[in-house]
Amino acid sequence: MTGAAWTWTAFFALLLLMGARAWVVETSTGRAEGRGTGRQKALTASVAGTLAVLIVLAVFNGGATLVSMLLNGGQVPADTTAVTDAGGAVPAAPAAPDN
Amino acid sequence: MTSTDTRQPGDGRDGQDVPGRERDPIDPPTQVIPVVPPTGHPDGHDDGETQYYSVPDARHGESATTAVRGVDPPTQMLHAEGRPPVPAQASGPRGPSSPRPADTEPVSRLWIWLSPALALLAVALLPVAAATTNLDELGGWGLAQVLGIAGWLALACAVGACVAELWSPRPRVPMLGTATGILILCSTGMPSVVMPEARFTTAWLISGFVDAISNGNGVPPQGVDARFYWPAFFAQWAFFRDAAGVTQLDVVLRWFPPAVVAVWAIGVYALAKSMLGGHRAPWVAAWLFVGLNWIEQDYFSPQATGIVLLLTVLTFALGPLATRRTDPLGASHWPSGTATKLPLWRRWTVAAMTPPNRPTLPPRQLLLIYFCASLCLLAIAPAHQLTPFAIIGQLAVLAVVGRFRGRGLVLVAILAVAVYVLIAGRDFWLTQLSLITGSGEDDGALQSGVADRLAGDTGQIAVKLMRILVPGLTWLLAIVGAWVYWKRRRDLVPIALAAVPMAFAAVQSYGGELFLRIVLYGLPILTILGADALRSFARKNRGREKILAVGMLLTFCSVIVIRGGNDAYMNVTAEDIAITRDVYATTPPGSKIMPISSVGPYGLTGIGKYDRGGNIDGKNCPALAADPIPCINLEYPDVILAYKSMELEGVVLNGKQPGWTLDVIRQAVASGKYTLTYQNGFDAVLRKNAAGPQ
Repeated sequence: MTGAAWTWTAFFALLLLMGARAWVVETSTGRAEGRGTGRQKALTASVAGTLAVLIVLAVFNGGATLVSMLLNGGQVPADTTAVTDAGGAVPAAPAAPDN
Repeated sequence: MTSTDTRQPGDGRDGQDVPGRERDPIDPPTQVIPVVPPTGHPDGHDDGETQYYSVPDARHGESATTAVRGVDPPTQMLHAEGRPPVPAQASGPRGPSSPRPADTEPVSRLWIWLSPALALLAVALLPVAAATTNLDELGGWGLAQVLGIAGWLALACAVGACVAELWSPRPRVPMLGTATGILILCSTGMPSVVMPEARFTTAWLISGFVDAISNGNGVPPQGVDARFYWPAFFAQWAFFRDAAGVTQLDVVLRWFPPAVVAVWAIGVYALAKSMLGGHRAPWVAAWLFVGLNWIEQDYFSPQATGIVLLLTVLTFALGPLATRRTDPLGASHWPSGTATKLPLWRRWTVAAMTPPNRPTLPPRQLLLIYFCASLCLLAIAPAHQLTPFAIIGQLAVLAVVGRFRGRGLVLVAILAVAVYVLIAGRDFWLTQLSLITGSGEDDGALQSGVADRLAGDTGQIAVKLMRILVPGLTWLLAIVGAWVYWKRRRDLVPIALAAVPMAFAAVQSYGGELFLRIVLYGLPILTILGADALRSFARKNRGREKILAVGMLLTFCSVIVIRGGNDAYMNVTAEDIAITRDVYATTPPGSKIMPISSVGPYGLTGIGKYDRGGNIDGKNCPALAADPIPCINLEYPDVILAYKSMELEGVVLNGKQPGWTLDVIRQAVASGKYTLTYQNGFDAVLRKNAAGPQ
C-alpha cells in the first residue's frame, strides 16, 4: 500500500475507534462523568495511539511538504513530485458569482 | 451544582423514561413542571415557550434542570438567586397537554381563511407575473425594473399570508410552513418563475462540471479548474443524472435556488426553535433569513449543499446535543452569583477539562445523532473549500464553552479536512497554494470584494450599495438581538458563532466572493438573534407588530431588487443554450471555444474536452472582452460565442457603448479570420476560417 492508502486506513480506523468509544461512553450507566470504565480507558488510549499514528503518517505523506511550503512562501521543495500531472494548466480560482 | 440546558426545550420527558439508563447521581434528571406565569404577558400571546428554572433537588442538595412549559415570557435561564418561587401547583393537574381556556375558544373565520386565501392568490398571480415580465427590457436595475405588477402583488400576498397566520390566535404549523414555502417561491424563486431558464453563469459552468464527470465515468478532468479538487457535489449530481437517464440538468438548475433555500429555511427554523423557543419567533427567524439572504449562493453549487450540511450539524449541536458544562468551581452564576470567583484562567482551564453534561436522550439516539453529524462532516470535506472551516470554527466555539455533547465531532471534522486536503488535494496545494496564501500581487479581498465591485450604471451602483448596506443593518439588528439574548440568558455564544466566519478574512487572496461567504455563514445565527430583537421590540407595544409587517414587506421587496440586480447579464435564454449546445456538438474536441466575455452558458458542456483559452502567459486576456480584437488575434479561438447578456454586461457594468459586441463581431469578420455562422440579435457564433485570413 502507498503512504496515502495507509493514511486513509489510519483515518478510518480512528473513526471506528471513536465510534466504539462513543458507544461505550454513552451506553455506560451509573458512572460519574469523566471516570470511565476499563473498556473506555482502553478505547481512549487506542484513539490517542491511532491519532498519533495518523499524525505521523500525515506528516510523512505531504504534511511536512505543505508546512515547508507555507513557511517558504509557496516554494515547492526540490524533491517533491505531484501525484498527477496537472498539465501545466492554471486551474481557475472559484469564481465570484455576481461580478 | 447547577445543571442547565441539558435537555431539549419542551420535549416533555423527565429523564426517567430513558430505557437502559439509570438515574445519574451527578446530573439529576430534568423535570417538567407546568406553572402559571407570575405575570401576564403584555401582548397577551402565548408563545408556549420553555423556561428553565433551577429547582433544588432534596435528595442531592443540588439544582436540577427543570423545563417549564406554557408560559408567556421568552425562554430564560433563571438562577437560584432572585428567581420567582415555583408555585405550589407545579405538580398539579394542568400539565403541558392541558388546554388553556384560550385554546378552546373558537377562532374566527377570518383567521382560518385569510392566510390560505392570500397564499392561493400569491400562487395564482405567479403565472401572470411570468407572462407580464418583459425580460428584453432588463437593464442596470435588473429584475426589479421589468417585473410585472403581478409579481410584486404575489410577493405582497405571500408576505400577507405569513403575517396573517402568525397573527392568528392559534397559528397552524402546516399553514405557516406552506406560507413560508410560497414566500420563498415569490422572493428567492421569482427569477425561476419569470425566467424560462436558469440564470447565473456559474450555475451553468457547474452543470458543465457535472457533465464532465458524467462523461468521464466519474473521473474529473485534470488541470481544468481548481474546483475539481473538491468534486463531491459534481460527482453526486453526475450520479443522479445517470441514474435518471437524462443528459442535462436544465430544470434542476432553474428550480434549485428556491428548493435549497427552503431546506436552509427549515434548518434556520430548527435552530431558532432550539435557541429561542416559542411558536412564532422561529418562523420570523426563517423569514428574516430568506429576506436578508441576498448573497445568492443558493444557485446550483457545492456551497449550497454545503450549507445544508452545515446547518444540519449546527442544528444537532444546538438542539438534541445541546447541554451545558457543570462548573465544578462554583462560578456558574457569574456574573450575578455570590460565590467567590476564582481566577479566570483557572475557571477556563477546569471548564475546558470538564465534559459537558449528558443530554437526556436515550443513548442510541445520541449515537445515531453522532453518526449522522459525522457523516455530514465527512461529506462536507470533499464538497467545498470553505464550508468545512466555517462549521469547524463554529463547533470549536461550542466545544470550548461546553455547549454540546460530542466534542469528538470537532476532531472528526478537523481530521477529515486535513487528511482530504493533504492526500486528495495534493496537486492543488502543490500548484495552487497561492490561492490560499496569496501571491503578493493580488488585490486584497476588501479591495476586490467591495471597492472593485462598485462599478456600472446608476442601477448597478445603487444595487451594490444596497448589498453593502443590508449586511451592515443585519449585523446591527443581530447585535441588538445579542444584547436581548444576553439580558435573558447571560449568553454571548450566538454572536460568537456568527463572528467565526470572519476569520476567513485572513484568506485575502480568495477574492471578492470571500465576503459573500462571511455574511452567508453567519446569516443563520444573525437572523435568529435579529428575530429575538424584533420579538423584544414587538412585546413592548403590540402596535409595533404592524410596523414590523410593513418592514417585512419592504425587506422582501428589497431582496428582489438586490438579488435581481445583475439579471441584465445573468439572464440566460433558451436560444443561448441551444446555440451553445449546437456549437459543441458540431465542433471537434480539442478546439478552442471562447465567449466574448465570461457570462452566459458557455461552459454548460465540453469541460476538459475543449480549450477554454485564457491561458496565454503574460497577456492580459482573461476574457476576449478585456481588449476584444487584440485578444481575439492573440487567442485565435476556433469558435467565438456571443450572447445578449455579454452586450448588457458591457453596457450596464463596464460602461461600454450599446452595440459594442456587434462592433467586435463586425471587426472579426472584416479581418477575414472569422465567418459569422449564426446571428439573431446579439446572439452570434463566429467560426475561424479553415484557410486562415481571407
